Amino acid sequence: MPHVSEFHVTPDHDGHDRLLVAALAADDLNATDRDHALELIRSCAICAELHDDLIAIARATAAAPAPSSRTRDFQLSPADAARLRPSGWRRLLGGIGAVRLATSRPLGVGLATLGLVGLLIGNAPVLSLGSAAAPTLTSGSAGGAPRSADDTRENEGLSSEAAGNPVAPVAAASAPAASAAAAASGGQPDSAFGTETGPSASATYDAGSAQGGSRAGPLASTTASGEQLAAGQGKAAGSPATAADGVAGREAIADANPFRPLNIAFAAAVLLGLGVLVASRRRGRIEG
Amino acid sequence: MLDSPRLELAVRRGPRIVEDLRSTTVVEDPVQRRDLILLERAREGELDAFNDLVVCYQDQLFGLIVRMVPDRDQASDCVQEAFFSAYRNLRSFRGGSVRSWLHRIAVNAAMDLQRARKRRPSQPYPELEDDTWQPPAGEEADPVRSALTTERHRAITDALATITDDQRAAIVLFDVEGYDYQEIAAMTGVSLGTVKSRIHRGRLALRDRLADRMELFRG
Repeated sequence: MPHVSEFHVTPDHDGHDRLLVAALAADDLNATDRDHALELIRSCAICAELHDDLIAIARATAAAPAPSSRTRDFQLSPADAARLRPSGWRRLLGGIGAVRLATSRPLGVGLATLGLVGLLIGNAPVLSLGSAAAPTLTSGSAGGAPRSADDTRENEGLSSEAAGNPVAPVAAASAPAASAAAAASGGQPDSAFGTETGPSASATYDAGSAQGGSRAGPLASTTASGEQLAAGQGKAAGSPATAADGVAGREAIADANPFRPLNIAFAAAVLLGLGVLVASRRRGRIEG
Repeated sequence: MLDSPRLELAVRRGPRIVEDLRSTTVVEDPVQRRDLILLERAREGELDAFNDLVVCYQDQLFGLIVRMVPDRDQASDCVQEAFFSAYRNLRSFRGGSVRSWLHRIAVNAAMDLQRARKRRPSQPYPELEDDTWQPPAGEEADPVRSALTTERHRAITDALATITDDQRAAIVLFDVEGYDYQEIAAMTGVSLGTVKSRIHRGRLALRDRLADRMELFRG
């Protein structure tokens, strides 16, 4: 029975895999690919010629002498040595960087991962609420996506209070409808908000926490949850505010502060990890 | 080189220091043993010991780098920078082959230079300047054969200068210097598959460039 190849080789050389032939010439193929490549050079004269040429080129390259001899003596002078000798902070850095690559790379990856995961987990509720539940808030902190008409209408009653606050420029900018409504209210500074409300605090949030007299941080905005907003709207509509609401709002804001120590620690871990990775990569290029 | 008085002195001083450097391994290879001794003395601040290493390896390193960076002046700069870097980082040597360590530093210096040249292209790739160089005459100094060999070497060198820097580095390290894939991967900081791919594609590119001169290589 004649041998039947399991590989179908097209007669057109243009469709043949030249890299496969190159890998065969370098003897880099596993058994299956090798059979395929052998079939290729058996059935295609051009591939066979390519195979032979590649082997010949590899031999010729190995035999080629250095194109020229050096024209310079590379020995170091005492002045060079003095200039290159590590001193001061470079010696210190050298000592720190002397940690073996086997240790420093995993350390860097670990630190960076820990920091990233910490930042993500620590701020996940903030992110999800910021993007899904409180579009107004995110638009405020992001600097200006327009609010939906419904939103605007819902909060219109509150905006008169909020817009009276001169320290809510983002809210005014990102919610033109609210601003317009507020303008009608006369723009009196509302003492209930206090001037410490940060510039990014949104109009909606201000309305919610207004009567609690909260001190929002400069970027506090996104944890003002849907319920808080609703509570705020209720209050603005005339329901009595409680001190507890204000406290809850204040706590929510405190949680939302992106500069809280844990966030700073995680961010530092990310930076440190990346630094260690870069240093170890540099070191890998010279380490013996 | 090995006969220089300084090196003899170094070798006589050697064994104790070798054991300091490689506390668990006794080095059998005399060249490696010599290198380790010199390196240890250089670490202790002896510039002459480091310069002995330079003398031992400068031709090798230049021969390697001048294939990767065919402009001789740039190749010289790379080699000089490699020795500077080696001296600056003597403490980072952690045993093994001093030759491989120096090669790694030099290859990385050459690759840095090529990357920098790509970022700041100032002039076209320079022609090889040394047209007067001839390979040493062998036993059979047949003029025809010699001319053919010279022409073949010139063709290969010219073709090598036209392929990509990465492919050229991989081919030179593999075909000329005899490093294996793993060593090249470690030296150049890429994966094993990338090294193979660069070598295969580089050879294909060489073949394309030599297509009309392949008769020099056949038979």
